[in-house]
Amino acid sequence: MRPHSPPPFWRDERKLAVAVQVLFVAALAVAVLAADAALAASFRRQNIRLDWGFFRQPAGFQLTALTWTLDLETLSLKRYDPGDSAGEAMIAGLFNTVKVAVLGITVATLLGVLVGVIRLSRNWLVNRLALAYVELLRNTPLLVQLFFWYFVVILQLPNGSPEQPPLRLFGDAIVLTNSGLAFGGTLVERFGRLVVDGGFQLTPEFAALVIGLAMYTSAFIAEIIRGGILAVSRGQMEAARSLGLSYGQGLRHVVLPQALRIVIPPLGNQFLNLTKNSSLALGIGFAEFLTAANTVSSQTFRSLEAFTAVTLGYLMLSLLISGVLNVIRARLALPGH
Amino acid sequence: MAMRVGALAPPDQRPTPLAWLQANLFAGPWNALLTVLTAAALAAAALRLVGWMLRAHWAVVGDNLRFWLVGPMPVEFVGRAYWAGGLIAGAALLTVLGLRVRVAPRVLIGLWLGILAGAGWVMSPVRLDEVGGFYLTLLLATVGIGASFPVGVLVGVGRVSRLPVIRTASLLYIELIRGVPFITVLLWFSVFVTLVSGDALGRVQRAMIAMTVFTSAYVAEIVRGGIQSVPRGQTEAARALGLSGLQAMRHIILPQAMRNMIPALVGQFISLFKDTSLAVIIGLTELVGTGRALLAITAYLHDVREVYVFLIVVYFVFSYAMSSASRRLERRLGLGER
Repeated sequence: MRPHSPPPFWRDERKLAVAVQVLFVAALAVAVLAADAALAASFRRQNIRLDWGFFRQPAGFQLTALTWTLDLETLSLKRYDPGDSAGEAMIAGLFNTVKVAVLGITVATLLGVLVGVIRLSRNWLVNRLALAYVELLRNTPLLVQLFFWYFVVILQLPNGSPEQPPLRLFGDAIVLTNSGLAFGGTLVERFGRLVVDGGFQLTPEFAALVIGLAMYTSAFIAEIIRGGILAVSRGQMEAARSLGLSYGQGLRHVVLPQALRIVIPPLGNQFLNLTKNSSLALGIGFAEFLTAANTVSSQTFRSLEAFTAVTLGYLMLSLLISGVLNVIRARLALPGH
Repeated sequence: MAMRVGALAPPDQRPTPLAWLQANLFAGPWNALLTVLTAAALAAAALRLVGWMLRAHWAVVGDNLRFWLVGPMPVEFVGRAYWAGGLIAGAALLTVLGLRVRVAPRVLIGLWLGILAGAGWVMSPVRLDEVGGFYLTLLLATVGIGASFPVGVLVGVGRVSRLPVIRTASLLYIELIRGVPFITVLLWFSVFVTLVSGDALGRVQRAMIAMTVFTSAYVAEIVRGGIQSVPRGQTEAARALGLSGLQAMRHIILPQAMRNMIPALVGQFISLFKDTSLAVIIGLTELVGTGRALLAITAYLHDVREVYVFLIVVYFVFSYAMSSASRRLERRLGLGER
């Protein structure tokens, strides 16, 4: 019998594994170095260089929606002013992103739960209407929907002049004009036009963005809610009814608590999607994070730096949200599952 | 001793139209009231919509069909574009017929590769920067999904690899891309590729690169899900028969995983088809860009409603057709039924 000899290295899986990984790292390093060299050559050709210092220089622009920002020196809240640095302008944009996300998520969830429950209605017509809502919103691009809300709906509202009086709902509680949506203000005349003074006002861009995002996401949420309710087995409701609970009580105390557990993880993904999708505000010019970064980029010609910063910013925001969602999921998980 | 019992036909469960109406529209007074109110509101809305559609200025669509279809392409090439479109439409028709008579998938894939190569050859003299409209939308979506499929399979296989370096690298790539919005990927690559390549790559190619990078991460997650849906015993059996890890993946796992991945891949394609609209932000004249370009012409300045309603209808028709076709395919393959 031949003595047992070790296999040659190309047949030894452990050595192969190490070799493959070393090769992979080498290839990756070559690719990164090549890209870096190409970038450096391009910078030399154009006589520029990577410069991250411009974030500290004055931004020099004002966008209407930029209001609050974080003072990067003292880390305290302050009013945004064009003299503030470009970094602070982007943070003011980030605050707006959070504002849009919170409002959008609230409206989308309410609307989505409503449509999801209607989708389960036994009335065929109402059921189909909800289905049409879901399919129409899910099968068209969000950007087109935002353009629709902004250019076709909100900017076509009356402008408040005597020929086009503002639309008033519930007395003057809600006033709609093409300069925005106002809740609970008073109408006053200025330069021959009726405008709203005081109250809670939304700019056209902000209103279009929140309506568009919330409706788009509500279609996905509706399907999640519907799936969640259907996933709770029918026997649960039947058992609740046979115990003497009414349909509403059964829904409230038996089915919904169980559906909630099923629904939370996909719902969290939709919240994350809505936050990421708020960057489409760039298309209609609402000054959130990406629009602020884009303005900085076009003012300073530091596009690569600005877009790298904004990409990393969104990554942080996403990681933060998914971290929170994971904590909630862990809390909700049934012990032993 | 067995007694023979005459088999009873199942009771006819289909309701009569009247019973259907009673069960689904007029079950009880409140339900009937709901039906009537909804129907009245729908009828009023439909009347207003039809009234508007009759009064609307559809010239912005009707007089510019060529622009909507192929964008600012030089006139001498437009015939080629129609030929290529005809080839692809023919292939789609043959696919539908082929699915009906159950042709082997290999034949259909061969047909599509042939048709796409033919269409590519017909279109070869046209510069990419000259195409636009619906043609560019379809081109971006097709190239995006076509290029991101191989990359996605590689990264997805890397994601479940036993080699820690490759697994971590794949994980980082997937999570980094999925953590940021598509538009930032598009803008970043648009800037980065311009800096690296100078003028060598046009706007359309830059958008294609960004789409591939972005979609690959999502395809990789689909591939990972597909691989993990194949029972572990399959790998173990393959390894026990002496196949190497890669051989087992290529010949045993991936072919089975592929079947489970089809619905998710079609969904990704539809989502990419819708996402091509974001290319308008980096200045491409795909469908949305075409609409905005037309709105900048004095004659059409006030046709905002017509343009955006038309865009919504076009996107809806195509996405809805694709998603219902994919649902039918799912049922045909019997996915989720085993």
